[in-house]
Amino acid sequence: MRKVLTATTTTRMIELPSSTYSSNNKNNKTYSDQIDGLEDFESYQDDFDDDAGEYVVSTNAVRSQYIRPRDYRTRRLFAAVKYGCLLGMLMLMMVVVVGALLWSNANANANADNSSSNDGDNHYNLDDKNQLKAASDVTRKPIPDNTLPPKSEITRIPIPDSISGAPIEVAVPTTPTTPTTTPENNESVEHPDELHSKATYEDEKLSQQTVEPAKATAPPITTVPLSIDEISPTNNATTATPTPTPTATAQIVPNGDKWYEDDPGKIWYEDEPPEDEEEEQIDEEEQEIQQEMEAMMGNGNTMNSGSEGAEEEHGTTTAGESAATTTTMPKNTDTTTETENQQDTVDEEPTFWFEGDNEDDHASLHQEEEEENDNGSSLLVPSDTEMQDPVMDMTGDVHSKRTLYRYQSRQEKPLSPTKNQELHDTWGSWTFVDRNTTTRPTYVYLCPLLNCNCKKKVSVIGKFSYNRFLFSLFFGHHRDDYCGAYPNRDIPWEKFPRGAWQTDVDYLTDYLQQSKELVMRAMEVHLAEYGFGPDDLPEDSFLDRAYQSPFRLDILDKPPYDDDERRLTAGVNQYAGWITTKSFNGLVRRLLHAIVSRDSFNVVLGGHSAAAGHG
Amino acid sequence: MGKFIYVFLFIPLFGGLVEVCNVCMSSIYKLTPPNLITFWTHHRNHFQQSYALQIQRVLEPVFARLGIKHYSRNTGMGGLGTIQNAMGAQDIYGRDVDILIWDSGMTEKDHSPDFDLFARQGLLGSDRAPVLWSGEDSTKLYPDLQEHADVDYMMYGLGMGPIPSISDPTTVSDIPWAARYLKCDNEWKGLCAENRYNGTCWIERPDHFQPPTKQRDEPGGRASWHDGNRVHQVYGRTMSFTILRALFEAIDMWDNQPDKRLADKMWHVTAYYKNIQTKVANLSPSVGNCHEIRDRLPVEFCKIPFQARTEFTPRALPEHTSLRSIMKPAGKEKRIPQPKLNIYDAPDVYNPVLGVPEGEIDYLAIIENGPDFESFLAPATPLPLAIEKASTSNSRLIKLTVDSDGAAIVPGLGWGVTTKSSPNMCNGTYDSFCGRSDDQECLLYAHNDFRGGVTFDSLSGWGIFTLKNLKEGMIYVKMDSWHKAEENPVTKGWTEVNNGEYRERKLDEHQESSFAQNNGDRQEEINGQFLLRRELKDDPNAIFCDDFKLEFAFGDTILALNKDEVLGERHSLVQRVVQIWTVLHKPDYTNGDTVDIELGIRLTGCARQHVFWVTHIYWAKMSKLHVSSYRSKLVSAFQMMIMSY
Repeated sequence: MRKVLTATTTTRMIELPSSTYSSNNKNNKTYSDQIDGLEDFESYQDDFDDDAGEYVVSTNAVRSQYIRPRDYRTRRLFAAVKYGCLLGMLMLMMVVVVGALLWSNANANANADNSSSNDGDNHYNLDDKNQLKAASDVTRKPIPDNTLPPKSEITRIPIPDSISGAPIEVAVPTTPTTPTTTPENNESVEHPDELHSKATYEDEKLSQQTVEPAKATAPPITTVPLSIDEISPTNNATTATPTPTPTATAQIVPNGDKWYEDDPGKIWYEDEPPEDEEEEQIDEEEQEIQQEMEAMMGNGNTMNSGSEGAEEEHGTTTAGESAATTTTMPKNTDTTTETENQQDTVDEEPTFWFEGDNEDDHASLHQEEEEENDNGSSLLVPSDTEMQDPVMDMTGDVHSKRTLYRYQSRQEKPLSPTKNQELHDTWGSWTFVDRNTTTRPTYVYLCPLLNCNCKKKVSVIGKFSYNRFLFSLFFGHHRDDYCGAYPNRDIPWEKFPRGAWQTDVDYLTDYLQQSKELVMRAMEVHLAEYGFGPDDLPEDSFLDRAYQSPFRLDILDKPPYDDDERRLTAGVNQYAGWITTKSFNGLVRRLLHAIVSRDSFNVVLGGHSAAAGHG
Repeated sequence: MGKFIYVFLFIPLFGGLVEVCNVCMSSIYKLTPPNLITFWTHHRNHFQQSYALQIQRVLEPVFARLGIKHYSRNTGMGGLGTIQNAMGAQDIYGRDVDILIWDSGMTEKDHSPDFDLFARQGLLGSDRAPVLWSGEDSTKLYPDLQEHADVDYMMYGLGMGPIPSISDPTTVSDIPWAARYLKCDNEWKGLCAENRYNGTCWIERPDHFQPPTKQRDEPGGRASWHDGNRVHQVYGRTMSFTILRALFEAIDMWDNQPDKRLADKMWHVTAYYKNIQTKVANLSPSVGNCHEIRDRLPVEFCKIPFQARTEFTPRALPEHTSLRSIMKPAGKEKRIPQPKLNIYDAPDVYNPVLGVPEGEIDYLAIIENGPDFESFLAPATPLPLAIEKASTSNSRLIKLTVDSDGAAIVPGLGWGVTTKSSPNMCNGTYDSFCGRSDDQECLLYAHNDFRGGVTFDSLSGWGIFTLKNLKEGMIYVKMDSWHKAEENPVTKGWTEVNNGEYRERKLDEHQESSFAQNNGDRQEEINGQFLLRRELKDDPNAIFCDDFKLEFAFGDTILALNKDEVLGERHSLVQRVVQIWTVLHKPDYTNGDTVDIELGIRLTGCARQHVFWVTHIYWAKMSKLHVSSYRSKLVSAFQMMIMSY
């Protein structure tokens, strides 16, 4: 009748696990620790009496009973960094504004001097319309005319007006199942400003495009995987000195034949890599960021090699699982292999072709990709379904539903290290630390000061606190919430991004063990508080002691309808009560869900004055 | 000295009066030296000592280590049951409730339909179909809900059985500190009573802030049926231990999976919640006894989650769920009634009575031991649905037009508010911080519950509230009608409506006749839709002046209730001091649309003689869960098939 509690730890002393994640070294502060210190400072910055050399309890903070000197010094340091950052930002903004003015002036002169041959370029990052708009409006540096390709050599992809004058145009095949290129129909790229001011011109050009239907006799086309880098401003220099590579063509999979008619305001995703590839690319960038951060901070917080291996292994699995809809290009593959992969995809889905007869340009892009971003991502985009994946479209809406939370002790003051060690020796303690915190999946990238491919959703930074924004300038990213975009945070297991802690077996092995020990420790303290601890009843097991204690919970297969039976079997008023097996399983499900999805777990009481706690 | 002895002898006899009359209590405190107070009186608990918040104190660090944000919210209210809050559970209790505890056996013992309504609104209102947790009173209902709607529930006990009883005071030290003075043999009952409470009203702050009102030594007042902090701790520990036990099972389950990979069906909750909520919304009237409430409230409260705004505290997201948050500003200054503010800011200094003495087992010290807690981005408490929807929808706003005199309806200037100080920080959690007003004699008492309201009289003018996301035409208003004359301080010294600051515009005759016709038609339709209400009887305060008129306005409709009608068919005394007025009960009022609608309320004819408090406004939205029985069975079967798969 009673459910047996499968406790694996029944002794009070809990040994420390010898995990690579575990660490008691508090000098190894994680990224979040540093941020938290800075955020706390806002609440306490006025609480130090310089004259008296004392700390006063804050009247602004939400909750704190004690302020440690170590924290104070840290906060002073962080404050200096913060205001330094602020000053730097102001200077940077001034530089940007001045640069924009200069560029605008130069551009106006160029337009006036060479209006007929001003082709502009298409080297913009299309994954962020805000960034693109900003680049076209203000911050973009002037490009010397001699670096711009001839107008007739680059094809444009037409972007709806809502994309703020996107400068690339693509031909729309009427039968896109086996597409081919039509170099003679290529349109040259105009300068983005000019394009931006010529929305009607774009529409006209779109209607004028003539795309040949698929032909069985069409010559084979070699496709080259392109990454986002290929159309980013960072590749301008490469574009200026292209290397010839015949038949180099990028492939774009559309959302369907009527993508622009169905939703003209939809953000153009076609230039983004598929989800898995993008995540791989993001991870690569994260590692770069991490390395740069480590070099900058010199904290010696190195990666866990075993974990990296696990991540790579998992990433491969993920890519393989999603191969049905996307194609992941292996590292340093040759053109033939790439072509085969692309053609496999072509057979499955209708495609658009990035038509460009500027072979040199594409070859240089390819070379640039291999040099800078060898993760093998292609320009294949997810299918329609994948593009609606909320994980990929989880910007402001998700962020607005989360708050930064950190538990703060309700004790009067921290215990001495000696006392803590005593407690640790007697009861054990939590020692788990995730050393891969900074490499966990993220979708937010901000690292202009480190020059590390700032290319992702800049606009979402406004959802974060000011301090996090400042730190993001240095450290490059925020952890993000990949569960929050699903109803009730029910993310399908296969949708966990690569590197997520939920899929990191090494992480989980230690984390779950320590979690069980923590919960068991909490229950043991409950028992000991009321005289049913291991010292009080040394001969009894945990389950026996729990059964004798006030916390005895009867888990019943069926509810006792009869009052006498209820009293007989459970003794409601004498112990902790009872629960049905079904309800217990339901409670376990809710708790498991909270753990896996990092959800909240809340208890609410409705009742009268005695329940309210009136005396 | 004789005076003190007099007090000492008679206070036990009149202890019950002390609970009722805090004024008397204050006088007694002033007359009695502190040592005598300590001897004879029983004290109140701090809010943080209540068992609901003891759950939070215990579980929060454990959950925080696991990356879970946890809070417990104590929304218990003195002298009331739960129905006034349960009627709008999704906004007042919140939408992210995982476990919903009902503990109102004394005030709702004979109101089993009310308890059933509490359970159903709690299940339908939360996004999470919470586990219900209650005591013996729910023995009959909960098994039925589980059988017919798969509802999860638990029955809590008091945990007092194994607690050792004190038979010899010299052996008290042999009992663990937490278990002391919980049970005493008959000859030592006084010993337990002396140690029943542990509280303090004020601790000097490092910033040397001094309260303007003299603080008591300890929280005062007592009631024989109220438990002390030690008992509350036992209750809280029994409940937190139950949750910890389930938590262990959950972690162990994950740990035992191959490659630590969980099947979605093991931990996903969307279909699980939907199954429960769909079945609850479509329960047969024969299941439970919620439908027995039909003589007091419409049975839609058993099926549809209602939205609510209130000035009662505590409540979830208080800044978004107050009546003031939906009030239309009045006058050129855009005035909205403003409550008092706290006289000092959070946090309070560390209160040693909330901890454990040196040398005793310190739960927090053991559990918190380890590296610093990490911060993480936790899901925020979801906003009320009306606010969430309002940001994404373009609902039509039905504005008010003219009143029964043909004058334009504009917000009045004479509305006030009575509530806790800084009520926006009254969310019922451990860290809530309200009620620190300048007139408080025990600032560390910290309790949140207060029966607040927006106050108005016949000089106040119209109070206009914008109800968003109304889909079913059901609007109810809870008001207090018994308050004293001249209790609204805003209209003090006024002799005419709005203090004569602006006159309402008269419409032309054509408009007036058109309005009257529409008004009459709509009233007739509405009156035919709803059952009559039970009248409020034997209430000496329910005597209104001859010209008394209470008016509700929405759209082009005015409901005017005169002296004889105000406690008539549209009024219902749902529980003691819970007065509900039906403003609108016409489910097809919006023709299936979701609309925002302005609701106006005013009194006329009695100057400052009668003061009403609006405490709650409830309105309904169409529930997607309410489907036909046949469809319900199909949906449920399909969901269960998916879950089992």
